Amino acid sequence: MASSNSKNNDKTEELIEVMRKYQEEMFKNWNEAIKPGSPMDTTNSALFTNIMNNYWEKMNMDITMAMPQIMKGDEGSLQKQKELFVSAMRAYSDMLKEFLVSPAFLAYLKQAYADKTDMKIRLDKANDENLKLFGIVTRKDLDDINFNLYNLNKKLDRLQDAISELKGGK
Amino acid sequence: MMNEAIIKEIMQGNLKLAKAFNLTANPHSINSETTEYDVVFEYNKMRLLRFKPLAKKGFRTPLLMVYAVINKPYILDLQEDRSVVRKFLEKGFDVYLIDWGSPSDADKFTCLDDYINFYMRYAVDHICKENSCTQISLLGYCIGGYFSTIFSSLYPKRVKNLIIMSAPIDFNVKGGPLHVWTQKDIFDVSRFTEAYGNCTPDILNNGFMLLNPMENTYLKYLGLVEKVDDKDYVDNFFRMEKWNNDGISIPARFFVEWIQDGYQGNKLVKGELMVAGKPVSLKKITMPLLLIVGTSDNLVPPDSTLGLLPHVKSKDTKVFENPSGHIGISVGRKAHKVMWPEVIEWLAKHSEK
Repeated sequence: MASSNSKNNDKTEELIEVMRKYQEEMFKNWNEAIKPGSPMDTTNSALFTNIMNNYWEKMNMDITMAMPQIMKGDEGSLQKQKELFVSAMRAYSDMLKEFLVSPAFLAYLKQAYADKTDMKIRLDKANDENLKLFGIVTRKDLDDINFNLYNLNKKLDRLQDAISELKGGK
Repeated sequence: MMNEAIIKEIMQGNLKLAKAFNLTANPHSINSETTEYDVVFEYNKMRLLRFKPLAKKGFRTPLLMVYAVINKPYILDLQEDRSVVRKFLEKGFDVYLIDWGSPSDADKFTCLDDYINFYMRYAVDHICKENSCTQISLLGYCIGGYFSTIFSSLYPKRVKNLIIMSAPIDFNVKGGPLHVWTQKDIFDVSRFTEAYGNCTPDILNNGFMLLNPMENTYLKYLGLVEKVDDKDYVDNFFRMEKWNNDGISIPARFFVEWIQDGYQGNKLVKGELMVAGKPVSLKKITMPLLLIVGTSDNLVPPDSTLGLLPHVKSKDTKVFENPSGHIGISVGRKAHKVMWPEVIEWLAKHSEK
């Protein structure tokens, strides 16, 4: 019993160590991603400037056109303000859409995909190790069972098809 | 100083806002799946639905509708006056629809081979047996269109007419963000499914939301506030919301195939796609072919669907271009008023009476 407890404590410490290392690595990656000269360099205006400029240009034009009516403050000016809001949202949406396919965002996306999946795989592995200690079925065990069942069912279906074909049913 | 009219407008606006808040907090129940059906065949989680006739049977060739493995198929029968299913029934067609069911972790190994050579083939076998016929007409929507194209290539004798609607076929087109985000050097789909298993509706919905970021969030709700007193608009709004949030997971193994063979490999039009070791040749498609695209579809660019035409051997082809997006094509008012009656006429002309 005592040896089992000590083994569990060791495993827990191991898990904490895995998580600590992961966090350390994540911060390291993040700092790498935003450092000057990198694709996510927030200080490099060239990456985002063109997209933002287009957006502001469109916004300015809309505001200039709508301003005289809004300033009158009569009936319909509220409607005009609403239209302006919708127009601003659409322009903002266009800007986001452009940004979401820009090299800067794609570099971030690539890193984010990789970091998130790595973290999930590592945590699952660590969890599975812990579950194993307590004799509890792990996700991998369930996957193996499901995969075997899937293959058996498929073989059975293929055999049934072959039998039907021999009988001239299909 | 603000005049009376403006104060009135602000008060009315606030009232609408309060009503919209109340509606979103306590939405009334919405009836989807408006047409009655029987479940005539089941295989694993798939159900084959046969709709009850609404008119005297006018055609011997039954119609099978195949929707994507992303959302529930009731988008094709969402509401009575805009139901694609109902339109075909009213003309006298015998209409079947595949409901793929909701895959769980136990279904993560389901692959393209299963969908084509088992689910779809069994469904077609059952329909033919029930109707004492050898052929069906096939209508495939979105990924269901991708499946229907592959099925028609592998089993051309079983398909009398093929209708492909907003289906991603040629991935080498100037596409939207989905094409960019799934590039090989950015997205390692095998590692992704190793970590997460099936691709869940949450992940997919976040991606779809970003295709039109503000329209799918703030502006959508602003539209509801504006038209909160219009019962039809409110009902439609909640019906669409219900359907949008009623997604299903894509099985992990198929998701890998879909991204690698489709978005990253474009194997179908290159003639490189294999299903259970058998090559899929689009040249085998010789039956009458109708393509339907939404001109403002940002999920599946029209050129992706139209990209099927140069690869098939069908002599009888037609294209309908509807001014709508990916979903508007099946539930849009204009599509139902103008396009669908023409599609039904086309199928009526090509079906055995």
